[in-house]
Amino acid sequence: MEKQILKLSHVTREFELKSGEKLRAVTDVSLSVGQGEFVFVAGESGCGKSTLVKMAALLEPVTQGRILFEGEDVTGLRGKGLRQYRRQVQIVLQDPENVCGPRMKVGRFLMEPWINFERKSRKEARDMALYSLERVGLSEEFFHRYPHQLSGGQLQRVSIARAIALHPRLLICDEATSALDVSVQRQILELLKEHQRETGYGVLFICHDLAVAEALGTRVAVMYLGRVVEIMELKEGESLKKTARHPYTKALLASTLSVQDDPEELWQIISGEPPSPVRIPEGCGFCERCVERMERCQKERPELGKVGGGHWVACFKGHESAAAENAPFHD
Amino acid sequence: MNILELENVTVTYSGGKAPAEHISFRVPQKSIVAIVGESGSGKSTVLRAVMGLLPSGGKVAEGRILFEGQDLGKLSQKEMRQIRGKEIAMIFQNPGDYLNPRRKVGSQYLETLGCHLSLPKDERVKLALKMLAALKLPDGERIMNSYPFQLSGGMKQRVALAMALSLSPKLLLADEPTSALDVTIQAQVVYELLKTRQRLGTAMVIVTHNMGAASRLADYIGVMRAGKLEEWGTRDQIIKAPRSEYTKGLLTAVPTLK
Repeated sequence: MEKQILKLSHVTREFELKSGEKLRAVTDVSLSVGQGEFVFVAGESGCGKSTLVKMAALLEPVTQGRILFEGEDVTGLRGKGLRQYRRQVQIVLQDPENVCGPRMKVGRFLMEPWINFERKSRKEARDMALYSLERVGLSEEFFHRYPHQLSGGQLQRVSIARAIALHPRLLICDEATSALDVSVQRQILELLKEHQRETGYGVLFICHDLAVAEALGTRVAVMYLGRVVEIMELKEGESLKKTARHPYTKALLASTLSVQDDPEELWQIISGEPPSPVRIPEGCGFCERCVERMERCQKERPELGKVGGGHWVACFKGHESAAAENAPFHD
Repeated sequence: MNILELENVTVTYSGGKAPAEHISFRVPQKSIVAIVGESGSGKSTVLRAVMGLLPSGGKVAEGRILFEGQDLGKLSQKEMRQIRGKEIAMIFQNPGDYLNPRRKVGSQYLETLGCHLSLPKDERVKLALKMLAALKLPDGERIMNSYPFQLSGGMKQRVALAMALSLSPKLLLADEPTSALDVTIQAQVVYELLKTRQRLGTAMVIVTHNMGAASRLADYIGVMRAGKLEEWGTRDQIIKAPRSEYTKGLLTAVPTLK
């Protein structure tokens, strides 16, 4: 049983809009990340995945629910405790341009954590910073450059370099590689995996590309309209297409364009778009667009039910097809 | 005759940089060509050169761009304006970037049509609604009456596509049309592009870094690297039997679902 690093317990994030309406970005999500685990959160725009990981990073307040870090409740942490948390839990965001201050050279940006958290001397911090650059495949000359002199991909690598420098217990990535060229993406992901093998940290990775999740993940959680609709544990070589049971997950997988596909063969297209998180429908959120919907789905919302080892699905059809156990979800 | 031909085209920017050099390829009638490559490869530059939309300081320093046999470099600005939009249409990566945020979609759409078609307003409205419906956009009237910020990325891209196709262009240029979109919406847009070619016979040149999309769409694929055309072939040649190590690298770098 792996040591649990992070546990999100029934977290909800609700925003109140000027109009008085409520926007629920995340509803009742429970998810954990253990040592050595690479947990992927997949889903499309508006599903709540970014909000979820920001809550995990304590960058977004929690409307309901709790966050536990290595067993301790860190929900609403402030001050010194929060600073300690930041050292242990690092986040790499999607827009690298906004991370490093435009007037700060890359080298200085990379040295900061060593000076702030580890109280290293400038010389030691400099050495560590240069080493960090090397690890992400950037040459020494980048040390002296300003952010605007780097491409998006290079900035993202700098961002990652800084995040892993202090060996955090948990690394959270919000589409951290999506803006990179494919060859660089691959390099970075392999670097993260290698780093994980060395340090055993946990990774919570948002990625819309399920092929990447399949290749690297130990677990995949799929979100739709603020909720987790499916969680799967992935063993080496296992195929997501064969494992997935939720119609939305299946549709995501089927829609993914791949060089392996036969261009003559049709692939699945789900029409329409998700409902607005301001007007969350009664019943299953995916119902409208679901090819397998039943009458029940419009009125009742399916809860996550176990359909296999480490595999949970929030779908009545999914439950039926696997004679799901009647156990409440826990993660 | 090919709809588009690039003969040894080199583009330079002021300051001497050449983002694209010695580019030659042919786009047969009704075919779809994908230009793939990583950032900085020059693929977007090639597209902009065809459209005559290079940034200031940029010019086609060498070579010819032939549209239906006609050298575009020899045309006046006025003549180019006649072609741009009507014969050759273009869509970009972020439709939010070129839809005026302060005007309703309908107003912009009708204006675009009005530039090239001398139809009365109600005819133009009908045409617009017909195109929006053809692209599976629900409730065309509501869309025409909305501001761009009220529409999702996927919807905006399809509106852009509808606008581009309304004039039945012979050639559609698309710069990363699916990159900013969700997976399921990407699939929808790719499908619409294929259907469009089927229905209208529109030839297309699509720039993308998404090998999966290129593989689905293209009859021919050109691989660009550091400003040069690294490899060119039919879709099958490039995807199944690439000659260049670089192309092979691009194909294997992308994880695919089992």
